[in-house]
Amino acid sequence: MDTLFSRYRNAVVLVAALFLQLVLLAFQIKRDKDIPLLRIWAVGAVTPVEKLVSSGLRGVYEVWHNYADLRQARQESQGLLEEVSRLKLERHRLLEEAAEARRLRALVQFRDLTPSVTVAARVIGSSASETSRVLFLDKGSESGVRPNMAVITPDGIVGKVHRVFRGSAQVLVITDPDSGVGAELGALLQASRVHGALRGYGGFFCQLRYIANDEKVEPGDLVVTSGEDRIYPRGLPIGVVTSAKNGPVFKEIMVQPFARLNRLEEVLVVTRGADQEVPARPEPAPAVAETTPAEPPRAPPASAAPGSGVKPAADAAAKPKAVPGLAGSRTKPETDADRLQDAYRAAQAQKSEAQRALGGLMLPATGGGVTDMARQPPPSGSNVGAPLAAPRKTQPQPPPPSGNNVGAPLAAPRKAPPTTGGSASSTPTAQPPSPPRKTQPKPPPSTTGQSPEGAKPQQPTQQKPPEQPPSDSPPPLAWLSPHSALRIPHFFGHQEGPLT
Amino acid sequence: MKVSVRMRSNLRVEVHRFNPLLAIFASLFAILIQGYLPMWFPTTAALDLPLLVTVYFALSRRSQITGLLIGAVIGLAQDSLSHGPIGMFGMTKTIVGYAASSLGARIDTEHPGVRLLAVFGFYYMHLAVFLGLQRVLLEKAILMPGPRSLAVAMVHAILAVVLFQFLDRFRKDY
Repeated sequence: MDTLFSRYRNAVVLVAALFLQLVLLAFQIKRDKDIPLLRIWAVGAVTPVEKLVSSGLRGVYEVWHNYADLRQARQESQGLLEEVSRLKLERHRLLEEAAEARRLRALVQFRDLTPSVTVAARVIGSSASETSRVLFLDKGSESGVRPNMAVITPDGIVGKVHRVFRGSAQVLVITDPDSGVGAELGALLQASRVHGALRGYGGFFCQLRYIANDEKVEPGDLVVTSGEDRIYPRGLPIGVVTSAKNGPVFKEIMVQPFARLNRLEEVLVVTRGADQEVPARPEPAPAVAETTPAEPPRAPPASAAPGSGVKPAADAAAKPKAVPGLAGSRTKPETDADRLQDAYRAAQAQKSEAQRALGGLMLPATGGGVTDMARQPPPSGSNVGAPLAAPRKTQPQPPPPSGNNVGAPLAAPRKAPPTTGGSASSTPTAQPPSPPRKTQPKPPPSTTGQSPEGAKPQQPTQQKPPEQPPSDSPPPLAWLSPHSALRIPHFFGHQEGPLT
Repeated sequence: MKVSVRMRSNLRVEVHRFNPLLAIFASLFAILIQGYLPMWFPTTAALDLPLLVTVYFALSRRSQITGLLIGAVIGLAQDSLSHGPIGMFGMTKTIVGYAASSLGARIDTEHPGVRLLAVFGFYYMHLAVFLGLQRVLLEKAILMPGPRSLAVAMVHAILAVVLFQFLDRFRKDY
């Protein structure tokens, strides 16, 4: 037996090994059970090595991927940095172009809305000293720019052309201390319609002069051009009152201009000023329907003859240009002009509310109200050559016989009734009843010969019933509304040379 | 500690001695690679590296008992890492190990050509035994190997020549 086993030892071992495995296999199949112990041993022996190998391979891969394979990373990074720099420059350029496009769009919209004939110019320089505030434009006599032309922006007036060269022009900014010397800038407070004269104060401010101490002027009051200087068309925004205090005779009123005079890039030069309120952006139709029927068609002004280059005011008001993105459709301000207009409206509404709260007293409408003035045919006469003299405070005077106010004496600033809420005849204002108009103290000597006594206070000939309900629509801006009572259709002629 | 495996054939073939750690490591590494490579290269799933290791050690030691035991251990380990019943690869590789050691005891298997042909034949032997056991014991249908198995057998043979040359560096002639 021993010999037999020794002789067939290998075969016996083979059979034994196979038999054992066969039994193992049969056990699993018969009982339908696994041999977990064997698998646990095998998995326990293999998985640690697998983890080790896997982590090692992963480490090798990461080392290769994160270090060895980064041979081109430096060059790639350098290229990307150059790309980023180039894109930054391009982005900056595009932002600048977009900002310029926005400014130009506001400028074009404003130019389309204003009845004046304007020339767009770019600010190419400024004064070389602190004491003089002048700008240089890239348009000169070749473009029709002449001295004493108004320079404006949608935000407000900038100044007037001081010197004209062939391809450039020098503009005296309204904040320059010399601005207003010799020819005061006619200005009026938009709400109270008190006239005054504006003069540069230096820095960023102007001074509104010749307003009596007894006038009520508060910070926040808006100041617009009165048109009496025959440089700036009537109704353009100038600025806002920042401080007002009584002086020896007149109030000392500081005005901060609306135009960002230290950041101007594009401006408009008014080559032919139309003394008309800048038409508002298209208002909702009902508001127009409420106010326009009472107004008869206006006769075209004399200066609006064909070929004169001056846009007829009535046409501009009757056919508002469809400029996309205007207030009628916009929901939020897009340009500085939009924000300014919104600010105007808010301030005006707030002031109207305050005035209503004073008792709902109505301002008596005079027979010579501004609306009536607007309805009347343009009187003849001209105020060209009449300098601004002392301010005055009178009832609204009938318009001159013709639409052109050239030659009409500007004796003194006058106080016109407020025009909030559209025409004074249709929209009651909430101001207290006007007391007998006071004659302001005599301002500096007038060159027109018209004494302040000539501006006697007039009793209102037509008074609005106080029970008339106020208009629901917020009072439009005087300088922006096409239906404002201040839209007196008289136009300036082309002005050249200094005013006397 | 070294375990010497002395093989003295009647044909005066060389007897080789291996470090047992090397044998364990080589077997384990073959099983690991067998489970790891298909994760990255799916076509390598057709390879049977434990078979090559079994054949190598069986041919080199030239002991039938050692060969069948090595085949049994490697086969059982391969079964343990698979999802099938334990014992299929064990019995298959036991038979292959026995046959390889029997062949190694009779002829000189140091020549690459002999190794090539031997592995080529053992691959088909392994395939036939495995399929036969599956059919007999598990009653599974047999898929007859097609032309692809020829290429796989050839790959195994070529790979075995290279692998055996590499493993020959770690053996010591006795």
